[in-house]
Amino acid sequence: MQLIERAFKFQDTLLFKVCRNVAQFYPNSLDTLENYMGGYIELAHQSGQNTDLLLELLGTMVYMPTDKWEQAIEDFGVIEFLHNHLSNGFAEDDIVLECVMLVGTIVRNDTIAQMIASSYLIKLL
Amino acid sequence: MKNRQIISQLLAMLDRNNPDLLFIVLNFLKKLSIFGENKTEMKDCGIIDKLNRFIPCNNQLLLQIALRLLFNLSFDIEIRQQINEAGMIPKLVEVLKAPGFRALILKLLYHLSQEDKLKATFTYTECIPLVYQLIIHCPESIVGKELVALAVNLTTNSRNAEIIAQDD
Repeated sequence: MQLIERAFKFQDTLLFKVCRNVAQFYPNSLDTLENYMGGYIELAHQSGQNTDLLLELLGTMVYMPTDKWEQAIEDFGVIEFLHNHLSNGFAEDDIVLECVMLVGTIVRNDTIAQMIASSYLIKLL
Repeated sequence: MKNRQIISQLLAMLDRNNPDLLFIVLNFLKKLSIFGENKTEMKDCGIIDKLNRFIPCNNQLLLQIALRLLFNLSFDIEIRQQINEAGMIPKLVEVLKAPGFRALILKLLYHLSQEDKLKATFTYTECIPLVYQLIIHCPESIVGKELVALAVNLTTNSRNAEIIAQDD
């Protein structure tokens, strides 16, 4: 998908927004998006103070209801990442909203539910 | 200006065929359109139907000035709907294919794409593949604001999102 590749190459926030809209309004694009899941999580880790970019990345991940999350949670420390953003009292409301929605997306099976239940996430929610 | 019914007189002159006269009249209307009350009067006098013949137009100067006037008018919601009803969107997309007036038309289409009802009109034009190609082949590292904003607006319609995803 050339759009996503270009968005990644130049870290173009608005182009990520286009991808987010596509993910939201055209669920069949999931197959393509799945391939970029790792990239999305990594860039979200690196986005730091760039909350606009982070918002689009989280917003797109919300529309990736896939079983690959189980692996990704272990590989990229997604739960710790969400934990950091939810426990940050200064986080923007829309970031918090996307984080909560993302928790909803990734709880896809018993294993992940168990992982989240045993973490501090529930208390934060 | 308003008291002297200048706008209705200028609009009546848009039916003439002298290019120089048309250019001056359109230029005058463009300057008048900056003020809200003039814009409302133009809307009430049916300016969109009159402008329809200039898009597209062989005379580049006339086309440019007509597009600028149309852009000024496109800040108004009702006018945006009239532009759609007059069937101008496919014609504007046709003009977008040539590089000459791209910046202007992208701004105009961006205004039009704000309306949910109008987003569906774009589905049946070549606008989405064209916007996609312009983004992919953009020479700058960050894609132009108007272009990407148009893409953002268009992709909030599910059919449009599907077309752009399939192009990919």
